[in-house]
Amino acid sequence: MAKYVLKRILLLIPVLLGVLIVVFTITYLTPGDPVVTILGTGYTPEKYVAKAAELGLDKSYLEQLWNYIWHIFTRLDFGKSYITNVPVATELATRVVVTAKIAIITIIIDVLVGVPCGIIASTKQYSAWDYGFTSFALLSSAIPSFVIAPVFQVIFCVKLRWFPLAGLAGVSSYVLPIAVNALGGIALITRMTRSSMLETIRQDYIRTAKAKGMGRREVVRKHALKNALIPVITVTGSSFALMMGGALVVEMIFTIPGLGTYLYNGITNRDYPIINGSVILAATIVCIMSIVVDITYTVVDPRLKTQFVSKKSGNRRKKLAQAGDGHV
Amino acid sequence: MKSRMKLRNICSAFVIAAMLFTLPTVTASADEPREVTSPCVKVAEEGSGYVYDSVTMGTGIFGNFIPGTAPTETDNGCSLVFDVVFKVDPETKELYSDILEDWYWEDESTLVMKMKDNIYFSNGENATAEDLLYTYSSHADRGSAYVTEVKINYDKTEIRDDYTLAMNFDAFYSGFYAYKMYLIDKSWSESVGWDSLEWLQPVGSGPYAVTEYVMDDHITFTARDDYWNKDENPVKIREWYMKYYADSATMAMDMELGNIAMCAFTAVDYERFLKEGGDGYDVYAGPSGCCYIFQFGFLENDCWYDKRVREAFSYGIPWEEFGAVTLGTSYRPTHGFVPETSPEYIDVGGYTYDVEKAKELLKEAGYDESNPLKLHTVMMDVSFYSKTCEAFEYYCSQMGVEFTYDLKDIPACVMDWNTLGGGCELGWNFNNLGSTTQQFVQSMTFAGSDAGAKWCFVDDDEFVELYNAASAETDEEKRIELSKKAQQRLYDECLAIPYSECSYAVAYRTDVFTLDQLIKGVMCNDYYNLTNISLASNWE
Repeated sequence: MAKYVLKRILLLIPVLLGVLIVVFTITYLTPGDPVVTILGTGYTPEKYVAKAAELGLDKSYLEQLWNYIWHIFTRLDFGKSYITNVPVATELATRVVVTAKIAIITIIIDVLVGVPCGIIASTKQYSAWDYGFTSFALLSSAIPSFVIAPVFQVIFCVKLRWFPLAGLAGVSSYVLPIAVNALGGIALITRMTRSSMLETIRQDYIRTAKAKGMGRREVVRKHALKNALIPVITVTGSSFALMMGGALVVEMIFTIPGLGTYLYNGITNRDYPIINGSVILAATIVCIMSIVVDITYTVVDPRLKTQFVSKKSGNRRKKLAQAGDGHV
Repeated sequence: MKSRMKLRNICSAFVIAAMLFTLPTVTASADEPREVTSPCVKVAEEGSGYVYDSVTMGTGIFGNFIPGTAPTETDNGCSLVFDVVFKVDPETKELYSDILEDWYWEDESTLVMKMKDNIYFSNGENATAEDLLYTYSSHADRGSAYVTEVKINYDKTEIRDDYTLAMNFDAFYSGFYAYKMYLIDKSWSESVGWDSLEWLQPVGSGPYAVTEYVMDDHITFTARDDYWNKDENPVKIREWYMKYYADSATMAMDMELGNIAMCAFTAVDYERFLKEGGDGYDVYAGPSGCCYIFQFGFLENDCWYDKRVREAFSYGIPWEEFGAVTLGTSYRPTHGFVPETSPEYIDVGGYTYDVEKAKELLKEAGYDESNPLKLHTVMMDVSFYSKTCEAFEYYCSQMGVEFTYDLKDIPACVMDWNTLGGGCELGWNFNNLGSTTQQFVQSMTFAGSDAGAKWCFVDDDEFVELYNAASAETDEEKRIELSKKAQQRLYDECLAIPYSECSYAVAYRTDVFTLDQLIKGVMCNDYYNLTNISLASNWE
């Protein structure tokens, strides 16, 4: 298992390199010029040339790419913002904490609310509970966050004055952004849990467990739930990774200085260091989350551990088992 | 049966809970008076010398304080931290300066500026003529958006003594006085360099200093006890807390709630909802000193060299209706290229809407149903341009003109504007920085040369001569006369079409500021002079 994890971590390097090259190339080819953004509309050609040289943008594509890759891998230097001159690494380190706080709490709420709702909907299929939860899930998925967020602001901030409108000063300021973010996730996890549970509770071993006299709750908890959780874990992991990329709409509306707004400002200003740095960070998080999800699978379903066992040790264990040592 | 009863009870409980939950929402309508506590302000203690200990304002613009690095220059903050070389009195429209004792033209090309000798930066350094020269030359060296029009000859410019600068011009630009030139400490600036993060808390000679800067969150400005002009210009607000908002609608809502004392409305749409004012807030819409002007992209499409085609657009578009549709409550009809309050204003005359006449003119020029005139442009993907292009497309279709457009983000759009062949065959010019001096050359930027956005250039020899002469004229009366002639030429030859004065909107808490204080404090656009608002003279 440890070897597998190490292997996956080492595989991150070529993956991130590939992401870096693709993103760098796309931003390089995208219309729009950061020099023009900085200088405005009234610059002279001489000033343009001087500014481009200052930013290193007068070099060839390959030269720029090589310099960028070299600085990242040797010094973790993502460069400085063309606009603010603040090192990108410094800003990313601050903002990832902000986004992580919101993402982690959102995921916890998604799981704590979504999974039980899904279980109830599946065990009481076609009941009012089932219809209620599936309708809620459908509605939450259908209404986009850029609609929900301002509506929440008007109701809870302007009319009721329960929460602050923007910023992250105090615990109460986290409530609405997390609520808006969580709605979509709850809907997704509810539906995923419900469909997965419905499939599982129809299995023979569940019928056997019931026939043996096990209580309904015990059957769900001990047998059905674990088997139904695999797709839920997958969805949860990818949701978290997406959220860590920055829930842009929520961050803009609630003025949260997270990764989403940072990347958005970078894109609109053609601030290449910010764009490249943010995307690499997001790609890293996605890769790490996929490793975490794989490890979590084995916790839920120990049978899956065998996929992490190497062929050699797998054969050795087989032979020992055949020899009657009792190893599996 | 039992389970049905149970379910019914649960549903009833849910409905009752929902009703209770929504009751405050339903009963607390926008019309009901609500107690305003204005948490955006902390009133100062008596005897402290201040009226307010702290005032919170909202802004959608954050950046460093390096003067001239538009669009990121945090102008509102710059006016607190730095002294501006020249200012315009909002009431009398007269030019004045806090840092110059005197200034005069020695000859046609030499402007002598005498500084006061008691100006000190926040690091204790005395401001001298060297700093004043550096204030201008640093823009030229950095290629900033400022001072590209004014041609200062630095080789012939002299520092005559510690506080006297004789600035020489190859070509003067009459908008020179309207530039927001912030006095920079040369030695400090050179020691830290333009890339330094120290520009987030810069050294300045202004009444305030940046005491806290949190990126994309807030900036705190605190009044300096050692401000050199404290006795002449004492301030009554000890601290400005500038709060950042990524979304303008959120900022406007927070203004409504009293969490910020003032904010600009750059989005026309939201301003409409607060136009009526309400509990403790109001909206002031003031002239920015410029006008919206429709321009023909001569360099991009030869059709504009035919006067009949230009006339067709003058008569074929109902410009008053167009202004009302695209600008909404911000629309201020005009027949001039500068605001009516400008000394350079001239009513050049309007165009009577006549779409049949327009079609006739186009037919004479060779465009009809079988050979329609096709036009294309590229504009910024912002609310103003998207509405404008949409409306223009409709009115063009009435004339039988095929108009298409692309909306691009700012960097891509500006690149197309500045490139010949960029596809911008027409456009709507307005100076988003406004003009405190309300000069014609500032209202129609880049009209006299093709150095900037190509579609802004008016390719008419007589106009270009008049424009550049007005731009370089140092005598005010002569300049006004030349500007008026240039404007009349534009109208007579249908070279450009003005349709609205530019305005900006500022929302403010009426329990924090009076309208008078706001007007005195606001410069010309959403870049306020917050120091002016803070001045003791405004609180008497």
